Amino acid sequence: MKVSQLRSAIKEYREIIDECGDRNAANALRKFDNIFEGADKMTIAAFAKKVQSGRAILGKEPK
Amino acid sequence: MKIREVRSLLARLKNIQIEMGAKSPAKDLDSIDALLDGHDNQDIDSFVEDTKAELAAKPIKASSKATLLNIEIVEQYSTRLLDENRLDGHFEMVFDDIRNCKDVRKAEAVAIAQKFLGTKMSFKTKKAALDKIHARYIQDRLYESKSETIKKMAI
Repeated sequence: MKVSQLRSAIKEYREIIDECGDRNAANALRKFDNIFEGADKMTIAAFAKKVQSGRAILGKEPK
Repeated sequence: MKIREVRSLLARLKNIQIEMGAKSPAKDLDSIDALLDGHDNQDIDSFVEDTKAELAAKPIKASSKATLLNIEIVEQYSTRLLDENRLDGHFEMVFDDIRNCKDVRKAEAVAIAQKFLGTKMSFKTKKAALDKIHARYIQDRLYESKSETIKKMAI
């Protein structure tokens, strides 16, 4: 699955939540969506791997 | 707002996906959730900022061998060349060692040539640097030979 597809799913879910009146939750998802910026063409697995690898490079977590 | 809330929302989304029979997206949501693990108390904005930095992080390439000059090898061979080039057969022996030594790459060969020739001349290849060393050696020997002949004639 591509990041763009996950973003679409999250966006749909966010709109539903927003319509239900849970603005805070919708806003949380909207903010969270920013982590996927520029990664639309990647698969989720590749995205996750890249983040993990970035953490390892920055010494945050073992690879 | 904390990451904890996002995890809870994504978990609900995952359940919806599973109910709809979409197993692959549910699995992908697990991958995302794994990235959030341990960050429950972090602000979303701060998490996003960190993640962007992580995505942009590039491994620091250890200086490749090709760019690091092996000074030890340069010193060793240039000293041998300078010390032994007047001993019969020694120059050729040292020269062959340099030519066949895999540790002597272009950078080392250029540095050795510069030391031997006493110039800061640059060379495009290892072979070009070695050829110049050899040419200078031959030139020096011819000059010495001529000088000796002239001396003998003078006596």
